[in-house]
Amino acid sequence: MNRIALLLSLSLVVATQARADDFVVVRNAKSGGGTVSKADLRGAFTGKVREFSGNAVVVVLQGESNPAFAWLADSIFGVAPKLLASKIKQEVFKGDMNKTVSAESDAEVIAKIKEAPGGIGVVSAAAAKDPALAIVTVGS
Amino acid sequence: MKRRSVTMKRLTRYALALGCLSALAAQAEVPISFYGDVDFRVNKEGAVTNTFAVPRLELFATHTIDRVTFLTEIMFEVSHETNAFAVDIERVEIGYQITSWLRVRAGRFHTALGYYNDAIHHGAYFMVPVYRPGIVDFEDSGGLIPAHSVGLHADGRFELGSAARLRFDIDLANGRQGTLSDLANLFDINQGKALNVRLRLEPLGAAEGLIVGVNFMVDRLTLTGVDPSQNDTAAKTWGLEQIYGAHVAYFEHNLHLIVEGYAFHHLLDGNRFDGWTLAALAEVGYVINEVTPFVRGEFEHFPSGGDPVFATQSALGDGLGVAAGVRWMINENLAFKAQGEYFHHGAAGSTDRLTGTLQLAFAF
Repeated sequence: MNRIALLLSLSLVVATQARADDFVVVRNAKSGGGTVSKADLRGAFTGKVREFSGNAVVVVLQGESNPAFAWLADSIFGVAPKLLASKIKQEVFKGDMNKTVSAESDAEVIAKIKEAPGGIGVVSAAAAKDPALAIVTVGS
Repeated sequence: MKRRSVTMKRLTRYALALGCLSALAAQAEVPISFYGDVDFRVNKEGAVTNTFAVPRLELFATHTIDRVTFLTEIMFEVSHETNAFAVDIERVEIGYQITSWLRVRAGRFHTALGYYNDAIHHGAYFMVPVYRPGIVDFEDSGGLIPAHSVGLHADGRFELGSAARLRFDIDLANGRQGTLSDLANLFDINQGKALNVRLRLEPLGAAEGLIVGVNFMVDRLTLTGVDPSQNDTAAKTWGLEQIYGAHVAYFEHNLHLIVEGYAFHHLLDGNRFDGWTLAALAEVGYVINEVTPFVRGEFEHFPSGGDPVFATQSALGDGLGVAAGVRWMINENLAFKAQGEYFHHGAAGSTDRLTGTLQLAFAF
């Protein structure tokens, strides 16, 4: 019985890991990749961090129902996508954050990040192959 | 006939305003967001009344080109006097991000006072309760603070190592005008500018999400109609206002917490009046999935004999209010709220107020 529970737990951990690895935070390569703390990433996606390497931050996001947005909400903010969407909308309404740029697909996110030197977004790991993008490692 | 003509003129004005905004937005590809709420309210203040209400509709647009940001908020709000919609330009701002730690804005904006005023200003969808607390209500609704400013604003953040960020906000604005509900959109009647400074500590790490802030604002006052010894209601009373404030807010781990307090020091006409008005509020909620039950308390304390600057408010005596309710975030566009509120005024003969409100707030 214990062995079954252990196997189930292990498979859950592996599955969670696989989901976590499905998406990555990417920036325009002009702003560099490297490790960025979770606090700074949260700041960038909510208007508290306004520049990367001298470039004005431009947040490119797919809709609340998109898995990439759900990953951002869960992995970086630890909240439900609905709450993160509301938070971002509120920061824009307050005037503390520039309006996010909307995209319909990974390809569109990448294209829009490439247009802005301070562009940042979330795409599936498989899509983040463009040399104009830098993958951000999420620090503690 | 005259009434119909006034209504037609008003409708024409709204149509023109909407038309111009839509045309500009379409030309610049600036999306417009719509915020507002539909309410049902039962009020007991002596007699019991009930009403459906559509108190406001907000049109919000913002656009950023590199480091330049434009923002405007146009409000269609129902006047308490006429029960009809009137147009109000709530915010018009042009901002420029100079460096990572400094942004400047010019125009008409929300004064950076305390937490509530510029964080949860309009947009009932973002508010957990149905209304703003009375002490931070708008200038024309009996609030104590100068909620809007016309002038310059600077803000930014400094990293304090990996432990915290320090946020600063500085407003240099026209300040209060002849009466508290007036706003200096075109000219400043006393030339003296109001200066407001707000500092906030935003810890990182385990305490991330906590905001601890202080405020100091100073303004030269030129008020009309506050001196009972003068029969001429247009006579001017000169004075000085100092506003001291402190606030704490926290929105992590499902907690919703806002606590803020103010001390208003008024000096009028060479010490003819020198008094302090104190006010504070606390709002606590707990987020359970999409539902947030909350409770809020607030109080106002005026000097004995009243505060001439807050003549209307202090005539009712000290105020003490408590509200409790629940918000359900249906989706990213709709929120439903139910709230009960009790407000007690200390002056003899004043009537306590009991209000129950159902609200559907929207954000599209």
